[in-house]
Amino acid sequence: MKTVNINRTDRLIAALPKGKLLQPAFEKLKLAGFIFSEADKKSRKLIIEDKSHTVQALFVKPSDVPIYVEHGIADFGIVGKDSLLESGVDVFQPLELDFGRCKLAIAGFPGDRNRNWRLRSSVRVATKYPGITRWHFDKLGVQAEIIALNGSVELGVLAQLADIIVDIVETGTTLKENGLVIFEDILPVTATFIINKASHKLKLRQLDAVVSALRAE
Amino acid sequence: MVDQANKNPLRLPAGIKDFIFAEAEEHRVVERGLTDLLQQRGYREIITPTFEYGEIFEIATKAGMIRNGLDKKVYRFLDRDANLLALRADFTAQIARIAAGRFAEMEQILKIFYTGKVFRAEPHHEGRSREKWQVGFEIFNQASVEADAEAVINILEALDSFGLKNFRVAIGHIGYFHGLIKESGLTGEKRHTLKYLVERKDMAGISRHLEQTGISNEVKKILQRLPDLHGEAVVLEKAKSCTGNEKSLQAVEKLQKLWTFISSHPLAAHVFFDLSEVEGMGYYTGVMLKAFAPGVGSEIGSGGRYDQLTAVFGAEMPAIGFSFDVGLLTQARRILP
Repeated sequence: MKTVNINRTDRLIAALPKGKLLQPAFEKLKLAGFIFSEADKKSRKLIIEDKSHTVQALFVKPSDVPIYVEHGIADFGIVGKDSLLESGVDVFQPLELDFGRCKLAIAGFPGDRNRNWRLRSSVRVATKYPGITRWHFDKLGVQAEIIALNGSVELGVLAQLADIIVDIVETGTTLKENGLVIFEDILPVTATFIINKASHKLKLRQLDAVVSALRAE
Repeated sequence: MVDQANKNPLRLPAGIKDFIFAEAEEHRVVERGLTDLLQQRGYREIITPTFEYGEIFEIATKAGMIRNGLDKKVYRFLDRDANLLALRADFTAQIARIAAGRFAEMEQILKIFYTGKVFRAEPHHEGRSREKWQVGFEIFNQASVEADAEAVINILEALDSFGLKNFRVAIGHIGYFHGLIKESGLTGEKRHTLKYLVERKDMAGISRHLEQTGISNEVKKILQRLPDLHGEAVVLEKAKSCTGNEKSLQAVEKLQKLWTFISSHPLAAHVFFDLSEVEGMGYYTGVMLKAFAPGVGSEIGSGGRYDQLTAVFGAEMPAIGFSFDVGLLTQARRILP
């Protein structure tokens, strides 16, 4: 099988998130003229090249997209605002895209909804987003004991590991099925187009063209 | 978690490196290339102390020296008499102290270069160096655009001397943004948030933020277009046509004048303008400069004009300076054929 080597001089390198955002990201890139073969998309290759030989796409875990872009391994990336903020990276984010919409919210048992956490010494929060959680509760002046989990955050509350959770809510079905409710929204989330700060200068024309094509829609 | 208590005597703190033989040599080649070039152009060396009273970084912070929370990245410690000391976190603050203290009466142009390391408490896990090797230069007592042009040409010729191809020098002017901010009337937290969003070119964020502020539609429009105001010298005309405020116009005119000094230089094609570039040490008052090279994901050098920094040390001396990151420049040279 032919392998693709990263060619940073003549190609734009894109970091794309594996999972839910990947198909809509491909659709978006089509608008900029970047089409990838179906065979490549279905393969398990980690690097593929578009038909016009302009872009090489790296498939990475969503939370790793900002890292590849900040270090300049990828010139640009597409990533959820949640992963972007949690990573705290220093990148340009010129464009929000119209997919991957959801929100980060605080949830817990309905009976706890009206408790005043501010009057308690601390609140235990289970989350995949310890950074955003810290930022949010610091802003409120509430001491949060943050328990960082890697998945099934709802279980944190059900199993009484935590008082509340901070997590992504899309339809709310998982919460509902587990008897949990939203207390408060933290921030809206959408897929975001990000650019490495050096690439922005070094590949200005190509990247400007991509941004305009995606923005025009 | 790995057992931290079981200490390995060979380990190093994150972000700290040994440079052995070949790596030491390639870094020295870059250092010497830069210091030789500056020396040939009449710059003279100042060797600053590795640590000094912590105050100087606080004073410089008050003068606006906040970049990515640099003030929070200073390594501070106490000596035996409980004086607060700090490791060198920034050369320009030290050089400004020295210039104000030793050269306040001097009226001639003063050209200085330095080489050495700055120490910054970067987060451990992000693969950032906590010790950065810099070579830099400063020009004091020349407020005119000639000094700005000399700085730009120093940078272009230095990068070219290493055989780098397709490098870029981005030129901005903080006055353009300051003019717009002033016109908008935004202050405090709202102003700070806007700067944060502009730094990230977060167009959607800027629009949302401005919706909540109730500033005039005219200013709103320009601020929303700001992230797109970059490109070759023609973008300056566009920037000019966008606004009527005095301060912003003056800034663009300064850049246009600067361009007349460098446009005929053989390396001028490496220059481009970016008026949305507002990130930098808060002490910059005019032109802001950043250099980039293929193969490196962040700027390989940065600088700008800081006419008010020496004033906080008691002498008013206009100045412009720039520092190269020796480590990143070395990295850029590695990908050359």
